[in-house]
Amino acid sequence: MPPIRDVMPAFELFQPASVGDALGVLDRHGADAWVMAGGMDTFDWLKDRIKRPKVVVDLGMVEELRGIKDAAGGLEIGAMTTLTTVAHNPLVKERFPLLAEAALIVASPQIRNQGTVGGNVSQDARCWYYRAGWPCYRAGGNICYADTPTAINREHAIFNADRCVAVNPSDTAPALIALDAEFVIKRGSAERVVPAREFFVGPGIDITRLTVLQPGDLLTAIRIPATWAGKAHYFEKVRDRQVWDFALVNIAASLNMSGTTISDARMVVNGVAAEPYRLDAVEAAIKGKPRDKATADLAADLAVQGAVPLQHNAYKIPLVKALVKRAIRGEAEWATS
Amino acid sequence: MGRAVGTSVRRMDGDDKVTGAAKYVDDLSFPDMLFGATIRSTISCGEIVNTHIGLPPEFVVADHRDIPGANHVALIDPDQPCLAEGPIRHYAEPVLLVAHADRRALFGVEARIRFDYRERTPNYDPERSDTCFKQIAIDKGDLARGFGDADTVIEGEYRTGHQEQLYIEPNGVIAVPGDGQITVYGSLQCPYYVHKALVVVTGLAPARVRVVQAETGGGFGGKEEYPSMLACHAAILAIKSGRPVKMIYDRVEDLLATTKRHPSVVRHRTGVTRDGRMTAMDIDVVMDGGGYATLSAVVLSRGVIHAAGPYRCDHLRIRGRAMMTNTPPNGAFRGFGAPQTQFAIEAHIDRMAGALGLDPLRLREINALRPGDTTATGQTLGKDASALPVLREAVKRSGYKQKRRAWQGTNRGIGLSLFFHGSGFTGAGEVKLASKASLELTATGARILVASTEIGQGTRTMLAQIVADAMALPYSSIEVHAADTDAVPDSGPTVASRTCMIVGKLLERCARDLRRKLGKLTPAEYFTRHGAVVVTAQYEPPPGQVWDDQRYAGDAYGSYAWGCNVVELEVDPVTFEITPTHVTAVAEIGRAIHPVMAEGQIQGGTAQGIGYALLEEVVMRDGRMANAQLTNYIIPTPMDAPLIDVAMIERPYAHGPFGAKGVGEMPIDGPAPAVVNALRHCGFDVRAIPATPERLMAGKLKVEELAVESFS
Ligand SMILES: Cc1cc2nc3c(=O)[nH]c(=O)nc-3n(C[C@H](O)[C@H](O)[C@H](O)COP(=O)(O)OP(=O)(O)OC[C@H]3O[C@@H](n4cnc5c(N)ncnc54)[C@H](O)[C@@H]3O)c2cc1C
Ligand code: SF4
Repeated sequence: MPPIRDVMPAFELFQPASVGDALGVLDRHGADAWVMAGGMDTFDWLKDRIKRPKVVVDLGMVEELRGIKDAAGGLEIGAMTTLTTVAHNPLVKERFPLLAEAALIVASPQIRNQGTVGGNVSQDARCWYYRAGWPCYRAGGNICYADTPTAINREHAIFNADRCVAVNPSDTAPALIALDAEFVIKRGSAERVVPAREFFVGPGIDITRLTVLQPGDLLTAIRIPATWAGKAHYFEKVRDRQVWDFALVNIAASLNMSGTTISDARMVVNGVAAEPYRLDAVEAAIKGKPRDKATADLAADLAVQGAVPLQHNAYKIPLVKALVKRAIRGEAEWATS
Repeated sequence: MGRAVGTSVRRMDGDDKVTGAAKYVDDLSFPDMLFGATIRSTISCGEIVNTHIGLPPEFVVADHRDIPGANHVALIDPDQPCLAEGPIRHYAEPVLLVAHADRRALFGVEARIRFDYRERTPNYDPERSDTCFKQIAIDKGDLARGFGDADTVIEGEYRTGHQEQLYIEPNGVIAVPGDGQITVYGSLQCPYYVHKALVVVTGLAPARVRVVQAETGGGFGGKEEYPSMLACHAAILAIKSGRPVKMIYDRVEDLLATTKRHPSVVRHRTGVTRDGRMTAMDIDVVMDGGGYATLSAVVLSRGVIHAAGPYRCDHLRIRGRAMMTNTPPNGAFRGFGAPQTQFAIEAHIDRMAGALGLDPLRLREINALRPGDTTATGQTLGKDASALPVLREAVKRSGYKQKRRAWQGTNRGIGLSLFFHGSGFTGAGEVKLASKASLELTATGARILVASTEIGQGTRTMLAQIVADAMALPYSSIEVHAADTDAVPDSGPTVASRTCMIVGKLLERCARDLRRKLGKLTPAEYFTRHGAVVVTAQYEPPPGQVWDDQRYAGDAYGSYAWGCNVVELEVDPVTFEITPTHVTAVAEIGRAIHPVMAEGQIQGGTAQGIGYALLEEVVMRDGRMANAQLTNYIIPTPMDAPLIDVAMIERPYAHGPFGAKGVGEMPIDGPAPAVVNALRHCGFDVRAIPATPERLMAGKLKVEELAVESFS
């Protein structure tokens, strides 16, 4: 039983003031380095001694990574922009209220003041076995403690599990996918731009990470195209408590309406798989349909096809169905389905 | 008279706490101090056969062989070792102690110590246990006759889980050794419990052991018995090293290793007439005591005495058992057994009402205890028995009847609970305790000398108000001495809603005595002429109070406080999220000495009860709390707590100070059943808590047809 978890372990701390310097330090230290944004996920790992990086690169001084600017009717958001800023920024609220709503419902005001959007999408799994330091698949071992009949797996995955059944916990990630965002990643002198959906990876591709970020990579910005600006949207998060709590399941949807029919849609749920789970079949099926009960029922059934519940998370299946129905019927209908 | 009592005077400890000047145990430091840590078992059942310690010599290591006195934590039964000698009964059982001058050196120290075990099959099910810590039987009237008088018999089984006290400050102590003596400073509720335990473990004479309470950040019962264990650990290290030793738990260790509320299974069989009169009650209570007896016997006792709820019934049988399981010991927690059993009876009442086609309110009105009625133990209630007044006030304030009708068949629900709570120790407990309180004259007023602790609930302020008015002195002229066993008499533990009613009464007597001594003089005048004077009062039971411990019959408590909760909530029909929207909490507490603090107890207890009902779940996996962190053992935040409308009714108790009874525990008895009854109003049949959304979902949504046996 570890006493005094509140004491930080020793590590070498770098506080670069520019992206260039940050990339230089990351390049030099490779896998020994840990990128720290707001620290809201990072501090747990460090204080609990579950992850023990030799070097921590604190991005807090890199001003060029903060801020939100117009980009041809869309937006470019610096990775270090806090969730509070994202939630309250007039441009975000006007063009992409979906993202503002998602950011505003993360954790607590304190965590949103400190936590960044880059950190929010890059945060690690919350599986409590993994977080407690059990040597499971995700930690590099060869067993999953959560996927047994007696395990505590109420928060775990119902889709696309592959050995590991952990889920992506982020609230902003599904919103960004539903807005067709792109993530700008720098490494050394190279830059690559990755569609939001491809930023996240499942255990089949890499069981030790939730994102494509490799040692040396720096997420610098998130770009949201104008495509979905001003379009209909829906966001809802189901959680145990009204503050401070991760989603059991959340849903983010963008809907383009022509008249009363849906001409195009994005629908993403999180908290159900290791990556935010995009409902491709639903998106295809509801195209050209009205936002009514029949569409909602059809979509709900499609949404959960292929779901495989664990011992304690079967409730997520009706929950996903319910959220999909609400997303399609819109807020006015939320209590009725 | 009465300038301070009944007004919300400024809290005595308030300024220091809000400015940060108050010193909690981790704020204290002593020269040459070491930091201690506990090495615990990692199995739930078996024996340690070998120990391998890979630590350099600068670590102080102690095991049971370093205990100078006897190796048990003195409480009720001497069954719990202070440090395991071989046999292991639960996960996280303390085995070794280590200390080091650098706090950081202790990090990960457990990885350098290994035990070889011989494991045995653990038992986690109290109903399959072959070790019973305590059995209690209550019989009244003639059960067969009671069932004979019934038209129908209604049965039910109700379950409650563990609950963590979750005081904001984790457990912590510092032991300072001296020349053949020891002093312990700590975050604790009961200095004399710790004193007694230290005397046993150190083998020192009582006069050589001193316990001083540091400022304490909450207890809720969680610092009733556990600090005795922790203080002994620090003392063992301090004696071995000859240096002061500080031991502070972090939240994870505190959650994994310390006591929780006893899980319970309560079964009811109730005979009832068609018009709703309860003629027979047959109640079976099983509590999970965990690995050692600790306070299970008395928790069970309070549980069974409250098991019939605040209802009249001439023929009843109550059987209670506290069983051993291979889990960390359960112990004291606000309510002390009564929340479990009153959850059961209150949920049962609503199910019975449903079966009889009566409104649950009506069923309660018919059966509620009135003045002159007798309780399950045969205690005749006095004029202050207030079940009906609190029920009527809560119904009126909340608009229960109208909402109950209007919300029928919707996703909004309203439910109520009626409950009572005995103040002070059970039965002959207070007589056995024989508590003492003293009051010392000072040049400017008086100083209170008691071992009753301030743990956030307002003890100092409340006691000073009583003394001020009883001496006709201003509140500001009263001081309270630190709870230090070298300086204050044993006024008993700070538990059982007894501090105001029992200790407050002792101080009222002291104050009146001192007032008489002063005659016409002011404290300053008397002090100049005669110097300091101390008066002491010792507990005497109210005249006529009798208790038969063999038959479990008689006057179980000096008085009862009464409460009624009305909970309004909404259930999201598709996600099953439950949102409590409003609670009406009516409490009859004799006299509110400090109305703001009394209301604070009711607000806080109600929120804690809502957590118990909806959120708080200790997930046990292989006998170990799997969610030992605040991210997944969750309690309600202000965002989750509904508006709580508190109303206090005052019907003075003749033997309480200024008429006061206890208020600390009662508020947690009512919220959980009221929540569950509101859920029943929405169509959900819930008989176990916490009632999480997925349980509602899995419950297949609809109230089942009750199996009603017909007797006619
Ligand atoms: C009590 C609590 C409740 C929470 N509730 C929620 C919730 O409800 N919803 C939710 O979505 N989240 C929740 N979180 C998680 C928290 O909001 C996110 O972890 C936070 O947004 C992370 O941001 P940060 O800036 O603090 O990231 P950090 O903790 O500093 O970093 C998180 C991870 O991202 C990596 N990283 C960060 N920035 C970059 C970058 N620019 N380039 C490369 N890698 C990077 C870090 O290396 C690290 O692995 C909660 C956290 C806590 C402690
Ligand atoms: S779910 Fe994944 S993270 Fe959790 S124990 Fe299994 S492998 Fe590890």
